[in-house]
Amino acid sequence: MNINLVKSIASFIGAAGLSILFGGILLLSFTNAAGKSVQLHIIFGLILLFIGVGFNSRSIWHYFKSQKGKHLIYAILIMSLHIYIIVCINYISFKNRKRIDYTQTKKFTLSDKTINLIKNKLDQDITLIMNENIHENSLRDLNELINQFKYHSKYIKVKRYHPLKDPNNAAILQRAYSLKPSHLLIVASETKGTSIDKGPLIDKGTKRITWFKTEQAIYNSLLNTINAKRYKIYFISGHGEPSTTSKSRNKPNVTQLVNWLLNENYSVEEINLNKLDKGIPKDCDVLAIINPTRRFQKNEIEIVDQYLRTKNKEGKKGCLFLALGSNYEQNHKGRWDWISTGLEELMIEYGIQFNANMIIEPTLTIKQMGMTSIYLPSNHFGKHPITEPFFHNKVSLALKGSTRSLSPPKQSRNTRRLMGLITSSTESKEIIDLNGFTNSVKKRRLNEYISKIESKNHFISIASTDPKPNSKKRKNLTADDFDPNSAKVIGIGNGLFLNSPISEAARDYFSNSIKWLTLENDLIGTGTDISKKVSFVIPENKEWIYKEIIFYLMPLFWIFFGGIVWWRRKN
Amino acid sequence: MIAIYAIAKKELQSYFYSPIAYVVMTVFLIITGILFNTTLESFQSEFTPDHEPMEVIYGSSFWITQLILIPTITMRLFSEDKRTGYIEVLLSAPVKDYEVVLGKYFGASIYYIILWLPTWIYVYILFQLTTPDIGPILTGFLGVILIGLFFTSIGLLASALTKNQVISSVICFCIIAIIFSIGKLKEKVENETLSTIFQQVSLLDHSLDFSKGIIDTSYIIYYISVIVLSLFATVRILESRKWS
Repeated sequence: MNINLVKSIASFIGAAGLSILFGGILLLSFTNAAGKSVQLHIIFGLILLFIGVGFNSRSIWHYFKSQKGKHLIYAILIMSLHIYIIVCINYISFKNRKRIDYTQTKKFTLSDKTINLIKNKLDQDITLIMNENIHENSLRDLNELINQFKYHSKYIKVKRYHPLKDPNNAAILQRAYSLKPSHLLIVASETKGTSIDKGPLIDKGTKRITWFKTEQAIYNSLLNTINAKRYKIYFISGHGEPSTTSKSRNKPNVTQLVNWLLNENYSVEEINLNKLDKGIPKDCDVLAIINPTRRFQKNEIEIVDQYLRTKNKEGKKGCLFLALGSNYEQNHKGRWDWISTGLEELMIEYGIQFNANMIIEPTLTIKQMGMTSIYLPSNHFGKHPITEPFFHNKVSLALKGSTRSLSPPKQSRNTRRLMGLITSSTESKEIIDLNGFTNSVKKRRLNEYISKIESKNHFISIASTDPKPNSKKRKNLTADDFDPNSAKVIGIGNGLFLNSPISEAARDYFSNSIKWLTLENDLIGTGTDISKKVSFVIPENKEWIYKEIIFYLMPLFWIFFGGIVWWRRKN
Repeated sequence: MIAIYAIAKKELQSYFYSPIAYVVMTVFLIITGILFNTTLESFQSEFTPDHEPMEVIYGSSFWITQLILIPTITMRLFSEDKRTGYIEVLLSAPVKDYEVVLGKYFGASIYYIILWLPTWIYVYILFQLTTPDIGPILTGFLGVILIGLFFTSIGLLASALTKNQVISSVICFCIIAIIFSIGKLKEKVENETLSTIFQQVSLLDHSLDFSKGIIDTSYIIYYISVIVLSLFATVRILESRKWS
């Protein structure tokens, strides 16, 4: 046989071996496991490569001994050295990279609180398991957010699954973490996993995730997973309060609210004040009284008062979330009177007055576009200095049912108490401190706030806390001027909207309130302001000008310019 | 330095003396014009998009223009000189190989930047209509320039490999397509390190980040290092003619 033909065939076999070897290495990289197929690829590839090299060894030897061969080896070595240096530089720069967010609202930046948690408090690997069976827009946003988490901590790992594209992997995860199709993420450590539902986080219209809410959800799940402090919330029962466990549609219950609290790493328990020997338990972080319908006895009110005044082991006074129900009875004149629960008087001590004179008449509602109920306040509501600004804005004090307003008492015993306004909805996520001591300041602040919100459901309550003991400021106090260990109270005129089924906006409101009470202030609106969507209308008289510029003037300019150059060169 | 400047100037002149420069510019402005007009219309509709207005041109559709522009700009850099034999004249002149490479690279890069400058008229129109966030526009434009310079260096390398302009442009086109689409592989691989590498190498993700208003320092280092590597490899290829 012709020796050249043998050498050519051997070269071909060698090249094939190189390809198979390369394929094996790729397989090894992609599947992350050296299976039998990978081993076969590598072994078979190496054998063929050796055959190819063996039959052509003399030619190869001669080539590399020639001047050209020596240059080639030198060039390959130099290039390899350069590539190595460049890979090292890139590795170092990747490990020490900085991501700078140049958007006006810093919308792609995690809050300081989250960064602090993932940078300083994580000491174990946390895997974020992502459900990729979501809309493309949501997936892109979620990736961006997860990248931010990854960027700040080496302990954050990511796994992805798609139940339709990769059912096997999804089945494994399903067994390990009780996956459901509604889950967006699982935040898992070696021993524990917390799921995050996609429902409340993905905007149904734009199909994009709400950045700050998703960040908040991941933050809470991280806390839950790494066993950080769990706040305990006690729900009072025994006065007609809705059940925390019942799922009956006919009976009022707050089961959804409680389930949500459990998902958010809170621990929840129901207590009856009459059955308590030693007052409210010492581990109580927040006492929740939601929609009682019967009057509290004197000793029960004293227990609540005692809880608010006494410091716990951490030196912190009590926190109360009080939402009063809708209790009216008709008097002999045919007017509806408020049935007192007895807590109203106690609340005056804390600067909160439940004012029956400011009832928003439930009958005075109109339907907006057949969709949303708007509560029309009665005239005296509009005249009150605090609530007047709401009169012309479609903001009600509760989502559904008849409702009352809250106001600071005219003569509060302690004029240094903060009167705060907590609001929340899917778009608003802030506490507005109404600490002006004159009605005009309060009014101005409210007006500023109202100018920011639109005609969407917002929830309003009055919050109370004390300034720092050494604070001499009496006006324009900020959140930093308040004593974090003082008693904190949030009062709601009508808490019927907290009953199941709870709306997303109501849940946000409740979430923000609880976080304020548990001193997790930073979590209230962990994200940035949601950027205003860019939208415009091109005036008709300008539309054709813009189109002329875009489609004719700009492209034709270069043709014209090219023509001049060509003509000048020709002459 | 003077040699680099002279070669860059000559290269830039040769772009503007040839009709292809104007054809490329016109086609480019028609494509970006269509994209911009679509953007304007989408922001007037009831369901306005959530992204920044210039994100389409500087981000999500940026790869379309790159695939067309870069091979067209770079294919003739060395291939043409090799085919006509002018390269021998150039390299026998008292200039160093690296000066020739840098001169040609700067010439092509300046032409690329000139190509993108008219898109600021779109930004001006946008400011007439609304007040967009200037941050993402500036970072988006920076991304366009940096990624363009990155690909220009690769195009220059492809051009040095062959004397056939078509082959040179095909090589360049393939490399750009691979680098843009390699990010898709990150979803396929199980190995997390490899997935991170793919994500880091993929320029589609980079251009989206820039157009959203995010600057990642590691991207910039990556571009600079690949530009240096490509230019170095081009110099070695030019030197290889002396080997035999």
